[in-house]
This record gives sequence, structure tokens and C-alpha cells, in this order.
Amino acid sequence: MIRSTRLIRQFFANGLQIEMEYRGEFLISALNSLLAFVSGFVVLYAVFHNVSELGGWAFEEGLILFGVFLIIEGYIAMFLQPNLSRLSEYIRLGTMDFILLKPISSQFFVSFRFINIWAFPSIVLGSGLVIYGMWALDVLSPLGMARFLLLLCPALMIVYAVWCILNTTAFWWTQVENINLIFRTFFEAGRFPVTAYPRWLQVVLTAVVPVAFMTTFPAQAAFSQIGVSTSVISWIVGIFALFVSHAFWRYALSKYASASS
Amino acid sequence: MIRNSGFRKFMALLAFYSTEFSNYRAEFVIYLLGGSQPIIMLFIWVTLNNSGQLSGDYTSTHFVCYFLLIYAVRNCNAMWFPWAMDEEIRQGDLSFKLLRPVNPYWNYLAYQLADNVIRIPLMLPVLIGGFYVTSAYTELSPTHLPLALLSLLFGISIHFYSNFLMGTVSFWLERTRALEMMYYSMLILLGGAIVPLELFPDGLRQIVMFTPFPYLLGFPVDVAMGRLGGAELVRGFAMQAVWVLLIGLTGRALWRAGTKGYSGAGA
Amino acid sequence: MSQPADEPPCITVEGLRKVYRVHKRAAGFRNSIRSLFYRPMTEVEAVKGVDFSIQSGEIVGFLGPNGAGKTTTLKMLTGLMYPSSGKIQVLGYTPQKRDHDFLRRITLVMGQKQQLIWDLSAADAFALNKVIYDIPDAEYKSNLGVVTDMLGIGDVLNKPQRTLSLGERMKCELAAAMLHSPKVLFLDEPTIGMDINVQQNVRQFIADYRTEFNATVLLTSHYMADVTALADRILVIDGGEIVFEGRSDALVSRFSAAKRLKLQFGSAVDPVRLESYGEVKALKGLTAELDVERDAISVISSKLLNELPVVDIAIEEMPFEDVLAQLFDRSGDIR
Repeated sequence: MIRSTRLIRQFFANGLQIEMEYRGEFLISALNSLLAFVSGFVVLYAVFHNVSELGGWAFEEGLILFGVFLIIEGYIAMFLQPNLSRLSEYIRLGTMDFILLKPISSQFFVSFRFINIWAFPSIVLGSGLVIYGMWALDVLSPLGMARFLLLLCPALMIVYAVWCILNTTAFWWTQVENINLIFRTFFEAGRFPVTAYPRWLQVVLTAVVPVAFMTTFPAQAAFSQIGVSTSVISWIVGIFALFVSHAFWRYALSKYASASS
Repeated sequence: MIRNSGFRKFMALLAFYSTEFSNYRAEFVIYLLGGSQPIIMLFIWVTLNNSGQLSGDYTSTHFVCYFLLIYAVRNCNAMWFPWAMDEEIRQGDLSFKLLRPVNPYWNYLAYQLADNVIRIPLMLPVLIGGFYVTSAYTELSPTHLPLALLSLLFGISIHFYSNFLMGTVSFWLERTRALEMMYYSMLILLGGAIVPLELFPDGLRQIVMFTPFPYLLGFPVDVAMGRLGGAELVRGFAMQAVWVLLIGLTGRALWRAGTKGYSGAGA
Repeated sequence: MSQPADEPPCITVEGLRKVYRVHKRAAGFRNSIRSLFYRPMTEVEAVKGVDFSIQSGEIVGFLGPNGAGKTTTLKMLTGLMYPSSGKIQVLGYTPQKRDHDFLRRITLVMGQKQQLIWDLSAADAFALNKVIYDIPDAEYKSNLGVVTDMLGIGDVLNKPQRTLSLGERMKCELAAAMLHSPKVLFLDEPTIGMDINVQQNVRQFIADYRTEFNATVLLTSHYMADVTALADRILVIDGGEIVFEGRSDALVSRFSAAKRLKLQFGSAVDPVRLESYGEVKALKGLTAELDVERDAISVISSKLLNELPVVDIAIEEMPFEDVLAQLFDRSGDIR
């Protein structure tokens, strides 16, 4: 545990150092975050220009949802995108062998080795939106924030687990950098509350591709009393997802070690 | 004579890349699933429409048709060769390509078209099935279809040149992934893939129409559905032409500037 | 340098076998479409039942032509690959289990495959390794000093890897791989692609490291020169089997007795006349290949240059395949 924290600190330090080599990247990332924010806001505004509520959610509630969406986008850009999508490159170039010989968890190492610090603007903008929405709805309070964070954690766990599982397929299918497009496609559905979709699709987005846990539930926790059962289920799903991702990773490694040349 | 050999070279490149792509069976699954976002959006709008909240007389079929078309256009428009360009430029491999008697430009086009050659046949059954099952084809305007095809081609050209432009930026900027992501997200949002452009508030829509994005997605779809009148059609095509020229010329200029100073740095 | 014979060996391998399944596909567009639906698999036996043992403190050269099974065996010894059958013990551990304690005691360096990050400096990579391997401060400081001196990388420590030459990068790789004072070094073609000076530098480093830390080294190569400089013992692997095991000086002196001359002539040369200079291995048009005794090289070369219309001359080591061919011929009286 202590070593993991020291490692993360080292990864952050490395991340900072690497990114310093690409200072232009900061501007682009910041611009990127800003544009994502503006375009997303425009779209949300356009929707509410036509309707007064979306799946039973009001505009300010929709803003909070969009804020959560941005936070997760930032999280993906900061931790997941720079790492897990490199897996097929590691395998192709043989770097994976070096990683496997280090006396640390290969999954941990591959998942967090590179940290793209310039991606934080999205997290900042998203958090800002959440806070604004909560304030506009008059529910901004420490308790509200605590509830929000309580449901944000499983969301982060699930997003990680899904990314990890999708990218672990690189052990079999050599060129799957694009698999993250699949994630993106379904994740985009998280821009809107899950109740906006027809019933059957709601089930899909909760049980099959857990998008509801990623954005809808944390957002809901921010402005309303989310049920205890939903919270508990979210955490169970989150932890279970992490277990599955680890089990799948280990399975993939054993296949890699048996079959590769 | 020259045209002939150029054409043959191009076809050879196309065949080569098609073979390369057909090696990746997993990619097909990704193609099918990855492009299906418009289908998901479709459901939101149909649900919204059924809830009676939308002003204006829309039928569900209207939205189904719209999003199926967006799905089709989006799939014709998926390009990731800037990533390949970026790699080549950074790693110095471009030097090899520059030495070959084929303009690298055609290389990228072949690479991309080969991808579409594989992808489009996969998409067509879904498309045709969808249209038939939902009777959404009734929303199509047969007389406008040739024009729609033309606008689609223009749209693809804009998209290709935009991607090419982003690729050339690799000559100066170390990493262009963020740029590509920016482009992609704006394309989805402002191109009408999440909210149909007709539903944008008027002021916003005016502004959005000054960006190239609607002309890649929403515009060809609107043409195919026969929703645009004569003046709007003319203006739309004109804008498409403007964007093709603007982006295309900028891209070519940057490419020339980039290859001139290219030092082949890397490994 | 080896331990006395009654000590348990550092590495033991018994009956090691590795079989892979590979799918076959013919070239061309049509066939690749067909392969979408049907992919026949064939089995390839890369390692066919290999036995050997290595004492601690030994440097063993693992030679063989490409595709012989060297890298596969090495990967099995490190636990990267699971054997199809057989037993392996390294330092008392079963590599396959990838025990963290085991991993802390070994290191793998592969020529031309780099693990250091492009944008970071060697110093950053070392700092990361310190955390990964839990190297205590004192040990880290002293090792860092030792490897930096031995490899002469003091002035490039703080520059990003991408600004360094291949030789400098490989030296940094080596340094990074040694910081945790591994007991067993697995080196896969460590000097490939480097120029002579760097190669010698690296060989000296390996020899010194072995002495200083009493490490065991398993070195694969398809350069004879790596072996002559370093190895106490040689294992030759070909076609997945060990075809020779013995002391390296025996192998070297017997089979590197000759060097190969590659000649380019300005005009046609009588083949019979050419034979008076050495053993003619090839003669085609205006190019020829000649085997000449090592000691006689300079004399013969100048004779050739003076007496024949030689336009270009290159003096090379005997190709490894030929060394092996000779080995098979004389396998009776090697040991």
C-alpha cells in the first residue's frame, strides 16, 4: 500500500516531467476542455430549448449531469487514455515483457504509469458545473457534496474496470486501440439521464453497459436523496467490476505466457 | 499514360490496405458497435417526441430516419489516418514514403478508403433493415437522393482534408491526439449527431452554421430528407465548396511547408 | 569463477519443451477474406527437450542461429513464457510463478528493445526503479555510482532518452537493469546493432559486474565475439536442441581458426589460381569468398591485393552457420 502511494507519486512526478517536454500540449488540452464544455453546453441548452424536462430532469439537474460527464471525461483523459490504450503497443513491441518482470502488479503499473496532468481542466470545469447546479437548485451543502462523492467513487471504479477489460483484449487481438471507441459510443449516452431513454434501453444502460452508474447516479446523488439501495448497489457493482477486471487481466496474462512467441 | 499508371498505383495501394484490414477480424466488431451512437440518440428523441413535449409536428419516424441517416453518414466519415500520419512524421518513417514515387497524400487516401470498403458493406444491412422495419424510408425524398449523395461526397472531402490538416500539424506539434479529440467531439455535437440542427435555438444555429461541422453530417442528411428548399440548398452546397477549398488548400500548404523542413528526426 | 561442484546449481533445466500453435495463411486478398472464417493451426516445436544447469557465478553463452530457440528458452527461464513441459529452477524459485522475491533478484536486458521511456532521462528511470524494487538508499547510491562509472554514462544521465544515441541508450538500459543488484542476469543479444567501442564497453561491464557481485549471467547471442570475450561455458542450441555444451575456449580455438575473406575483382580470375590462397567457398562472376587461417590473414590479404585484380576486400568472422556445420562434422572429438 505504502509502495503503491510512493509509486503513484513517482508516476505523477514522471508525468509532470514528460508533459513539461510538451508545453504546447497544455494549451491544446485546455482548449480541448473548453471546447468540449462549450459544445456540450450548447447541445444541452438546445435540448432544453425544446423541452422543459428531459426524462424528468430539469435544466439545472441536466447541468449537474453534464458536469459529472465532464469530470469523468477528464478522469479518462488523465489516467486511462494515456495508459490502457498503450497496451497493444506494449505487446507488439515487447515492452510488456519488461513490465511483467518487475516485482509489482503489472495491471497497476500499466494502468497508472503515465499521468496526463494537462487533462485536469475538464475536471475543474465539470466540478464547477456540479457546484453551480447544486447552488442553483439550492442543495449545495457539505452533506450534498458528501453524497455526491460517495457515488462518484464507484463511478470511477466502474469506468476504470470497463476500460481495463476492453483493453485487455489486446492480448488476443493485436490492434485494438480503437476498441475504446466502443466505450465512447456508449459513454456518450451518459450525457443524458438514463430516464430519458425507453425502458428497455434503460435496462441495457444499467445492467449491460453500466453507463447509468457512471453519470446518472452520481449526479442524482448531488441534488436529491438517493436511495440507500442504489448507493449500496453502486458500490457493490464498483467493487465487483474491479475484481472482474483483475481476474480477466490475470487470465489474459496466463494465455500470453502460454502462447506468445 | 501517366494517369493510367497513377491510377494503377492507387488501386494497388487500395488492394494492399484492404488485405491488411481484412486481417483484423476483431476490428469488424468494433466497426459495428463503434458507429452506433446515433442509434442510441435516436431513442432519446423518439421518447421525447412521444412524451408530447416537442413543439412542432414531428413524427417518430422523422427522428428515426434522421438518425439512421446520421449513422450512415457517420460511418462513411470515420477516419483515423491522422494517427498514422502523426506516427510516421514523428518516427521519421515519412522519409521512406516521400522517396516512393507516390505522393503520400494518395497513400493516406487509399488507407482510408480501404477501411471504408470493408466497413460500408457491414453497415448496409443494419441500415436497410432499420429503414424497412421502421418504415423510416417514407421520410426520404427520392428526388433529392442524387443531390444528397453529392453533398455526402463533399462532406467526406471536407472531413478528409480536415483530418489531413490535423495530420500535418504533427510536423510542428509533438502530439496531435488532443486536436483530433477536439475535432471529433465538436463534430458530434455541432454536426447534429446528438441534437438535430433544426432543433437548435435560432441564434445558436446561425453561429453553428458558420463552422464546417454541420456540413459533414447534418447537411447531407437534411438534403436526403428533402427538408431544404432551393435557396437553402444552394447556400449549403456553396458553404461545402468553400470549406473544401479552405481546408484543402491550407492542408496542402502546410504539407508542403512541413515536408520542406522535414528532418526525419526520430529513431 | 564457478562454485565448487557440491553447491546446488543456480539454474537447472530438465526436459524443457515448448510447442506453439501458429495459424497459417497464404498471401493475397482472397485468402485473407477466407481466413476470416477458417484458420488452420499447425504446431511448431520450438524447444525439444533441453537439459542443462548453470552454477552461480558462471557466465554462460547461449549461442545459436536465428529461430533456434534461444529467446524462447530465455523467456521460459525468466517466467515470461510457460513451458509446454519440463522443470525449471532458478535461484530455487519456479520462474513461472513470478514470485516478487524472485523478480527482485533477476534482470532481463534485450538488445534493441527498450523499456526506458522516450521522454524521460535515465535519472528519472532510475528513481522509478528504486521505488519499484524497494532499493534501500545506501545500496541505491552505491550501485548508481558503480554502474555510472563502469558504463561511463555520467554526462548523459539527465538528458531525455530520445536525445541520446543508440549506444548511450543501451548503456542506460543496462544501468537501469542493474540497480537492484540482481543475482542472475539474462541478456538477450545485448550488443546487437552497436558499434565496436560500445560493444567492448558493455562486455567489460558485464565481466566486471559478475566479479563484483558474484552474479550468474546467461547471455544469448549470434555473435561469436560476445562469447569469446565473456563466456566461461557455451551452450549451442540449434533447431530447439542443445548440440554442443562445453568450454568456450575449446570452441573458439577450434572453430574460429579461420576467417572469411570477401573479395570483389575488377576482372575475371582463374578459380584454380584462387585456390592457392585459401579454401574457396564461393566464386560467382567477379565476387568470391575465401576461408583463410586466422594467423595467415595479413600475409594472404596483401598477397591477394598485390597479385590479383582485387577491387574490394572485406575480412569477416566465419558465419555462424558454417561454424555449426563444422561442429556437426567433428562432433565426435570436441570434448
